[in-house]
Amino acid sequence: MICALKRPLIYYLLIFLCFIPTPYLAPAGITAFIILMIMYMVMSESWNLLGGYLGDLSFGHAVFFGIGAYTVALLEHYGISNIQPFNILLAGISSMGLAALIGYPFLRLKGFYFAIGTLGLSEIFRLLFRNSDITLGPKGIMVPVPLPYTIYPYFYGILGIAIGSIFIIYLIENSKLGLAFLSIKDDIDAARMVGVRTTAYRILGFSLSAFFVGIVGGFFAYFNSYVHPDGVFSMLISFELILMVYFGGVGTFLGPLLGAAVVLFAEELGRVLIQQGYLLLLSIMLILTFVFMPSGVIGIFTRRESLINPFKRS
Amino acid sequence: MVILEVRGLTKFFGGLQALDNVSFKINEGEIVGLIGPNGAGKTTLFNLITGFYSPTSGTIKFKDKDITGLSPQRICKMGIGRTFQTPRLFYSMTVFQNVKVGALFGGRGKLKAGADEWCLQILKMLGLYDKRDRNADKLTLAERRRLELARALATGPELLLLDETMAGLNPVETQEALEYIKQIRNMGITILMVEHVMKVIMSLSDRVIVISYGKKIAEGSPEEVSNDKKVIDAYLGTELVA
Repeated sequence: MICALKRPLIYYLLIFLCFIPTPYLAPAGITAFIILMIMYMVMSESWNLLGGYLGDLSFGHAVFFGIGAYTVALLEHYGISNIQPFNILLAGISSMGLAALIGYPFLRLKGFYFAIGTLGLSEIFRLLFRNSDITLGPKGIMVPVPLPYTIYPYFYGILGIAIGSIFIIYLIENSKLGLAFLSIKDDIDAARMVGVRTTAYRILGFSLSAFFVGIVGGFFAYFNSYVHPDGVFSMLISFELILMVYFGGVGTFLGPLLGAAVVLFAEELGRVLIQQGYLLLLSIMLILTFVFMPSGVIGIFTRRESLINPFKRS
Repeated sequence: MVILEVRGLTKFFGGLQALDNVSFKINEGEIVGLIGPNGAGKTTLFNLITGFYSPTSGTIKFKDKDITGLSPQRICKMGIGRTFQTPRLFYSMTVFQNVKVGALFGGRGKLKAGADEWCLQILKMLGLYDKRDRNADKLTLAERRRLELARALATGPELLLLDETMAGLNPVETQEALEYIKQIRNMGITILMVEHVMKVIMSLSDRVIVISYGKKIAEGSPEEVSNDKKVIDAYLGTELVA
């Protein structure tokens, strides 16, 4: 499987380099859409690091997005720090910290139990942030926008984040660490028997995945200039990531990037054409993907079986 | 020199006693056969030795160190390798990668440094060199079993536990597998093997241990064991005396 992915990293990075002139050529609306798309590309690639390589399906990745967004919002709101790159990095670290902290009890769960556990986790945090005075509860937090406002710093900010994080994820997946992750996904008992420290690697994978999502969450707080618990801890985000990864091709490197682009485009189109009905569109897409192409678009081209069959009981 | 010493091993699963006070020793360089009817507790014994279960009571000593209750990964690093009853490979990886996982994570110091070289050497020895870039799920059953053996060997074990390596193989493949096991013994690796193919047990083993209903009922040379009244009873049932 990995052979098919062994294409030089440079091609993938080229895709991002193609984005460079976007804000000069496209109107602000399109540029904003591309920013959102790049955000989702990074997040679905991170989800895939955990779900596609380690085999731990997270149904609650929104929790790391939310923690990242709130880290930035709280730092700004309480005037602790207004250095943006630093705050975004802290957003990643706090998400990673949460994952590492809950990793130990959580990773005793496997398969669907883990999935349901993460789903519950993101809801717990949504309610926690919705009801806490420190986070201003359901009012949400405004994040100051540096004036004069232009879209350029946002665009190049997320582009830099994407190139950096996708480069790191690629290196992880094609290193010794990636081999350990794959072995755990394939057969955790056999992995233990050949000396892989499975719990440690699962916590590491979970934390790394959370880190990149947290970074994107932190960026989003600035980009959106407003953070609301129902928005950033939304179950919708978790499910969007799952749909993107499976649509593109789980366990592949290119799949999540492709999935993020296509799904987000379909979503935007749906919003315009059928308003709230776009949620229905996403659900139908999810079902059709699972039934007709469990290994995603990439799977159709490479004609290989799904690395993770959603219907297989394990 | 004794490499593995199992003393008074007992395992309960709830109210079910899977192993009852089993004790035995394995000397360095031996091939020991472990036989017994289905459900006798052979695989449970393997799972206890390799740390997947911890025993209800009893101790396991490997090279004079107490390994009772250690995790499988620790036990692997100490030098015990194992194959499973049904091959449990990493099916999304290539043959070479499977072996490499063994060398990278299970191997100690020296093996890690020259992992690639070491893996290729093992693949050559087990006749999988030509298929090294193939996906593990494209192999035949005989090849899968060999790959599992290769992966276990890559961790550089001193004691190898083989769980029914011959099951489902045709006579020709069985003969080949026999040769591979002899080669492994010649590398100086001690082997404890569960096997149902009696021909294999009789021709390979230096000693045979028989368990039935969780109890050790006999131990000795293959000839001794095959003539033992208790062993015959366990396999064929006791005669009804009118």
